[in-house]
Amino acid sequence: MSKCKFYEVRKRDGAARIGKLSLRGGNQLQTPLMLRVESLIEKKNEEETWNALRGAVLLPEVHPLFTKVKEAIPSLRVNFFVLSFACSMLNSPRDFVRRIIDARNEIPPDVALWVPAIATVENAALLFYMGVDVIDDTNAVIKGYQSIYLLEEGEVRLSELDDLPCNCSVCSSSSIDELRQKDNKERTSLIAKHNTLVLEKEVKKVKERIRIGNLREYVEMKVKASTFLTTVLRILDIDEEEYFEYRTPVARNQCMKVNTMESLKRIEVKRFARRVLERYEPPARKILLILPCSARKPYSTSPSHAKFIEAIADYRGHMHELILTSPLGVVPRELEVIYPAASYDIPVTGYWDAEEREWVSSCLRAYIERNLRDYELIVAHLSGAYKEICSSVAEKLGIEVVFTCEDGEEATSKEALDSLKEQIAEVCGERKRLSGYEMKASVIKAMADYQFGIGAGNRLRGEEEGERIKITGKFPSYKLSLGGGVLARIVPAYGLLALTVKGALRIEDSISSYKVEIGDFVPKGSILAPGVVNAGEQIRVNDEVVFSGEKAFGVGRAKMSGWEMLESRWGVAVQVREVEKDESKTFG
Amino acid sequence: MHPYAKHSEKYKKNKNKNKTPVASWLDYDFFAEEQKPIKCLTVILRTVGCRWRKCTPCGYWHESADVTQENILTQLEHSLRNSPEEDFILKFFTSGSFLDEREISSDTRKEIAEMVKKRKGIKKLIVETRPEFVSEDKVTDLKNVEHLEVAIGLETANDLIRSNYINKGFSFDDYRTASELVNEYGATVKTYLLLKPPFLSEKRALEDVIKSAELVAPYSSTISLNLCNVQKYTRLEELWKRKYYRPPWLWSAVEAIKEIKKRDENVVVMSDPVGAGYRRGPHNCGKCDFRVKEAIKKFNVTQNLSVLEIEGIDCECREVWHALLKFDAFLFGGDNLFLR
Repeated sequence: MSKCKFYEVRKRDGAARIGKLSLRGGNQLQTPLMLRVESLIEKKNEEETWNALRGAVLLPEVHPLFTKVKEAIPSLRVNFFVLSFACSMLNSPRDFVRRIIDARNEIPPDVALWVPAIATVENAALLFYMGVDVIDDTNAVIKGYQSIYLLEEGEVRLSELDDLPCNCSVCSSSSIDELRQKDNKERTSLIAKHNTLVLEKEVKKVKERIRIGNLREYVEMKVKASTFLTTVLRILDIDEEEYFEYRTPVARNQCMKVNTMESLKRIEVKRFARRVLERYEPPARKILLILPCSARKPYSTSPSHAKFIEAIADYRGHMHELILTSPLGVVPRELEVIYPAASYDIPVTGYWDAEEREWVSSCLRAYIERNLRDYELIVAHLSGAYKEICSSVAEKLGIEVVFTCEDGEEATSKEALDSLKEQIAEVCGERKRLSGYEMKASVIKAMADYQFGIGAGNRLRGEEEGERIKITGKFPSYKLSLGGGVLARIVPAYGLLALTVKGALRIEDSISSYKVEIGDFVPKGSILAPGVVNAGEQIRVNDEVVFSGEKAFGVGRAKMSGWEMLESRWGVAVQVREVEKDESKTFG
Repeated sequence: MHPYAKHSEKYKKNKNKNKTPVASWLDYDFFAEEQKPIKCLTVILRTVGCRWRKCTPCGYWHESADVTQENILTQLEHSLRNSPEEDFILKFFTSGSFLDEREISSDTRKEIAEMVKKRKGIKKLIVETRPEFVSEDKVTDLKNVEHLEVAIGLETANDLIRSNYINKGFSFDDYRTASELVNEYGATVKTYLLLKPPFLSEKRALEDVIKSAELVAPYSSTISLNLCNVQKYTRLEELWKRKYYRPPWLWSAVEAIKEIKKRDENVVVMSDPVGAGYRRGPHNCGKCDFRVKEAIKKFNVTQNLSVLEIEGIDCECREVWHALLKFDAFLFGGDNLFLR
């Protein structure tokens, strides 16, 4: 292997990646990478360095010599592709989107994509976010020669500056007046150097963001400096949902910051809303209680929800709690621990803009339409905008909702809580508390359904004759076990349910979409992509997966999407958590 | 209907145009036979237009119309009214091929030759044609002209570039055969080369034009560098609008002229910087375009390289142009980015 030249993706954050370009002779380059064009020219003739990599050029469709990569050269084995005529991307935000997304869809996942000559400090983060791995400083250098000084959020002509707003080695070692006094050639090459340095710093920042897993937040922030780039991000969110759905991790240990208009359109938000409709069955309770969200997550741990729960405690066994929130729409109580319900943050002012209202209304409406017949009554303990949204949805659907807060009354006020208590008592009749076991079991069931599809939850918690399922642990770190053996546990940091081999075996039939078929070996630590024979198409990074092959069965965490496991030649596909040798098959 | 066709349909309906040439103007040109600048009358005759019409950068054929041979003679008379009193060179261009039977009939050609002979002031006649129309008969039609020059738009000596990127529809061999024939009949050949066809980088384009000049020099008495400009309703215009194309830098033109002239002092090198300084034409940074353009024009009539010396025309933007050449191997078409 060491003699081999290849590109391996080490870490993914949406379409962005951290990767390693291995060169002949043991040298490595890490992506996201910024190539320095001056040093490329110097090294052009050195066989050992640059030429050690194999690349191919992607031509635009308008080029007379254009051929589709897959048709032209099916067995093409290269380490990177270069997107030629990248300048055409700057023609319009739509072209910017098309050229990169098409290129990325055209080439295998385990090759690097180099977009030459157009990178600036402003657009670099977005380029990497879209799935570009390599850029260069050509544009930065040439802008330097034009006396254009790059800033982190744009550019300015040197003549327009009064001071050098930077402390790179160039800017900290000379004042603007000294810079101006230098002759043209020296001055422009110093600006070029500054430009390269700030671009390089940006690439480092992006790399850290990918490593942590919150590049999206950074990109939302960066594009705000440019109308063009903001348009690109909006087009990506609207038109390229599939591209990002196939690449966005199912969970992460980071808080999702919903600070811009674009945040509402994130894959995580759309995915959550979709799964609440498609992969969630409410427990059988006769009253739907709609509650407002809270700043602290999971909601149950917040002071406001503690008050709500206390108010309904005697009748909680009749109630199904649904939390109304922006931008997730509706979060059933059972799913409050799931990512991103357990970890998102949004500025709260009491003012909801039209787009938020519309989105949350559509989520609530879809939920009620789908599950209405399960409930005898809908009670809404909501005030302000929450109440307005709920009553407009009720009106549109022509259904009756009991509101327990008067207009202008806070949901946490004593009056509102008393009113909630009273009205609940009235409609419920007999008291019925919710047992701790039932509450925990419903959380485990809902999470299993959410992750693997409906059916998995019932299989996991269902008791066959003579079985006695135990759920232990303090909220939200529940642990499900049977006869002393653990089946599954909640991992709060990621908002995921993790299975054990025993648990996986129990629900094997209901999780076929999350199965990874492997070759004839017993994996240790990790399963590499070439070892994967087949993988479920729905698998995403950080998904809980079950793998099985002739010699082994086990559980682990997906490190790439299912499709990527099949198309890659390198890289870790699954991080193994527990494996069992299948002796019977080995010697059978 | 294709938008280009639509445009020219509209144009054709205007029947009055048939009796006037597309354009005609007086200028100076270098008279190679006597090695001095003299006046030059250029006439763009309106004809039925080029038969090929498929070249990527060309929109000239939009100027064609349903013109009769009689119309052509009328146009001719009309434009010769502008003849200067002194000796001059006469250029008859047709936005197509002067030797194409469909555009100019044999009789018309002979009549034109006769007229040129009669007018003593006309020292030289220059006509343009695609090489496939060059034949013994047609050159013979013009035997009365003392100094005849046949101009052929080869664009590049590289067949791959010409066929793929320009879509010219003939080969270097076709050009060579035609040129040899012209030379055999005692006429001279002027070869047009295109600086920066689409899909070539600035550096490749510059190298290509210099190399091409070397290859055409044995057949040509004049090499005319066409600095590619973006004409309306052309395929090139579409590419340019989508930022797949940027016209050449004027620095490249200066460099090309110098290199070609240095390699072969005997060949006359011309370059009419059409549209120079505009976004659609060859341009630099905007600050220096005018003075570089003027220097090129001055060179055309003097053939003296000293007028192109950098010291006299230099600008900061030469650094940018220089960087584009230097970084060429790693730009992959990205040099179109640096519009002004």
